[in-house]
Amino acid sequence: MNMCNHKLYILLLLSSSLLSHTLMAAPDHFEKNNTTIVWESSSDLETTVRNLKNAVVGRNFRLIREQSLDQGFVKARDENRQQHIIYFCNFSFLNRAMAIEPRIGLLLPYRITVVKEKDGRVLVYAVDPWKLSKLFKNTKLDDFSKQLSTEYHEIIEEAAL
Amino acid sequence: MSGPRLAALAAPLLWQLTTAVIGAEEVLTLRVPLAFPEAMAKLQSVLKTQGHTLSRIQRVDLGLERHGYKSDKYRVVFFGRTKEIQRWSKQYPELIPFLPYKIVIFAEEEDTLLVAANPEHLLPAAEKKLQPMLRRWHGDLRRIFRDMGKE
Repeated sequence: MNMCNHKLYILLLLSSSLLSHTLMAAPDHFEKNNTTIVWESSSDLETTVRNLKNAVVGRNFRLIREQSLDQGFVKARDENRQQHIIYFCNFSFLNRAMAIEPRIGLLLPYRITVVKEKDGRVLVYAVDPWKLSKLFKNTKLDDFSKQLSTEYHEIIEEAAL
Repeated sequence: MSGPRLAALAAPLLWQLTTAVIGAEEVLTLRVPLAFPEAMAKLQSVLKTQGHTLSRIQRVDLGLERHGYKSDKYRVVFFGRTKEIQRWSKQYPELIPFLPYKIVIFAEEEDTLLVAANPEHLLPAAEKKLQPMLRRWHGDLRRIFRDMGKE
């Protein structure tokens, strides 16, 4: 291997290592058999929130509101801004789902939470609609919850990478 | 026995029958023989009595109507104990997607239905350290549903 090829090889190796680190999903023990989706973002909290909002709107969902997790529990000035929730919905989609399963409200509003941990990592959390919908034991809901789950994963993946 | 006396005796039984918790496993469901506004007011009172803070009410019906869909009264009530929500969300990040707690409340004909997910079924693979929290949370929900079921 000449010097040029050697450098290229090292560069490829480094890129590959960096990419695999960046694409790393969050600790998978959170997700195993659980009803949640967890991803580690490669961006800071503000950028991740911005990316999520763009991804949500880009998939024809309507942003309902965003807030800190403890909003409504503490005074506005005391809210923990490191735990940020984005709520969104697609009312046409929801209207169809409610006709199938009136208890669908347990999945509402659609929600993704972004948290900046003490160690600086930014984690993105959501309930997986497909897994949570199993609680209803209503197979008619499967298509809806699978589709919604796919949307959640794509939104989070797009925003967190 | 006179009609009114019989009715008075039967009323608590009828209440018990109509407020029975249906399917107390994965999803807690309670039907209360109250119109939606009364049931909503009662839920707010029960939450306050049990030491919870109601952080927000999401008016799903309003959102649907604004987008041209017809809907009966349908709300999602977010609540919890402030210290608990703050502590749990920091110490147990696995719980974050589920905090604050929520109860879905909606009108169904003359009655009102309350629905909540059983916390002990939300994280079946949760580590042992989480189990006491999930049990406590489940207990909170059952107490709320019990008091909602009282006449």
